[in-house]
Amino acid sequence: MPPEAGLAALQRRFYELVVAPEGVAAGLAALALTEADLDRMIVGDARLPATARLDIYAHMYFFRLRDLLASDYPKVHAIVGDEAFHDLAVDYLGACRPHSATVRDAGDRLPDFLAAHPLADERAWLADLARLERARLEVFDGFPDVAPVSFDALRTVAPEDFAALTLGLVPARVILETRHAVGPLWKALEEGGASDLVPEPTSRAYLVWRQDTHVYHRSLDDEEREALRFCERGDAFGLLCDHLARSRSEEDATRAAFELLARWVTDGLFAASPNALSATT
Amino acid sequence: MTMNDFPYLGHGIGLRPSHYGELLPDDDGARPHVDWLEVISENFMVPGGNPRRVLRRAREHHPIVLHGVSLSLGSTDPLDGAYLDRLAGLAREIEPAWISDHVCWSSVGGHRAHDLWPLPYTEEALAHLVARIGAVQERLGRRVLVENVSSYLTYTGSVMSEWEFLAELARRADCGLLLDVNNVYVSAHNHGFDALDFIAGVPAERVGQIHLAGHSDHGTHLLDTHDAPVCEGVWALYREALRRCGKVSTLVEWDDRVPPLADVLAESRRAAEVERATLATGDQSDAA
Repeated sequence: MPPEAGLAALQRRFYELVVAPEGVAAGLAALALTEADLDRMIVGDARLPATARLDIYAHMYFFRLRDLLASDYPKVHAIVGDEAFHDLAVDYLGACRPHSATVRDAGDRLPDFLAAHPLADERAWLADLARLERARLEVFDGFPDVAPVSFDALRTVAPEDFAALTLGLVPARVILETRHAVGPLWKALEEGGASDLVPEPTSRAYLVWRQDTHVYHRSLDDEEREALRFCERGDAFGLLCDHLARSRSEEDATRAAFELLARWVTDGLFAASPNALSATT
Repeated sequence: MTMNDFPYLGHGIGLRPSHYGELLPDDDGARPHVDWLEVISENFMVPGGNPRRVLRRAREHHPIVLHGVSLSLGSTDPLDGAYLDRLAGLAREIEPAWISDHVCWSSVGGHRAHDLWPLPYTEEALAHLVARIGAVQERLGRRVLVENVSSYLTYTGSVMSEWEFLAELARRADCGLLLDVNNVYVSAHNHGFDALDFIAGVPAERVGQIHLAGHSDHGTHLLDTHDAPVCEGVWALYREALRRCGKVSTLVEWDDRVPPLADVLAESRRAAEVERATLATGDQSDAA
């Protein structure tokens, strides 16, 4: 590692040693280098040899990211405990190095990584719990703010125009498909309750959305999940009524459609194009 | 360069989540006085939600400075164009008093460190930084401030001191300097140079902002932790910086173990008092 190796070479070597999972000394050995080699790159002294100086950066790199992951996945952390989470962070950061200027993206691959990690051998639902935590984090600030349609705005729509009303959703929402019902465990942990609750191994769809500045989630039944697809496509309200009428009377279908619409408006989920409401009046 | 790019704003603090409610109440009720606020740019480079709402509210009441940690000016990776686009978009919306980042590198081979790693003080690093700061200033349409970082190592290949490097960098890139006095203090301790040489060596006319912060003593070295009050040694160095640079917008950073807002504001008020006492009378001491 001669000084004349250049800036790019220096940065590559610095990085290789700082991210070495067992520390700088082990990293040097893995690269068949010695402390004398490092002394040719970094100034050391009796108080702090070059290896110790670089280890300061190695420690800061790992612990900052480990603490960030723990902050982003507090419920996974609570379930597995400090020691196992530390080991998970070592494994994860070794396999999935941060790739984005946004530090919060450093943990974006943890749910998928966790699914294949030994920690999930006996707790296959752990990855789904991480997915729910990740979805909530991304919805918090990951989508533009769009004002939802209010009941007052809906009241301006003439009854005969509702069938043509275009369905839509605010951007700040995701529908998360999981293989375990992790919602009750999330809630128990949020309330400081028992973490020994085992999620059922059954498929679930969770709607995660932002209302005002708060993030919410709830599980969806099959009918609402399907109804939300009408919103995602921007279909007309009348099409949703027709769909619901396949399994019930037209009158009941219309009532069910309005109940769904009312729930979406209450939740601050329902959006429409700027002229959608005026176009129907 | 004229200092009009970096006007004197007084004494500010960093905007941190635990202080949102008290500093930026939803209603029009009384809010504590602070001259200006600095925010970590990346925390607000998001499409929506609470961060952008908070920042818009903060901007209604205070001058805002955008302080970045991820530009990675010294990296040999390409500049992150998408990052710059987002930063430029935020700047258009918020109209910050100025934008700053660090003289460091934090990415290699597409990987991100999320740390502020030191550069060697070489002609190669200098030329590299000058070109990249020029590109950033061109993209943002304004001069930026670049900050000296705390460091725990230096390179055998360095051919000049850190302050000589910064002075030449500011001159060639035609940018301003954010003089972090705590970082000078920490690095001087860790590398055995005289902090006063650093203060004397920076071009005073280029210093557009000063940072103050706390650090922690780890026995063999000082660590720039931003988790404690400003120590007396840093206050003394701040007085020296003021004598050299005159009135400069000054900010107290507190990022970890963040205390109640009143404590951070008290540090900011002390900075104001130190400035008044130092510049008005040339006195060596302050009332605090």
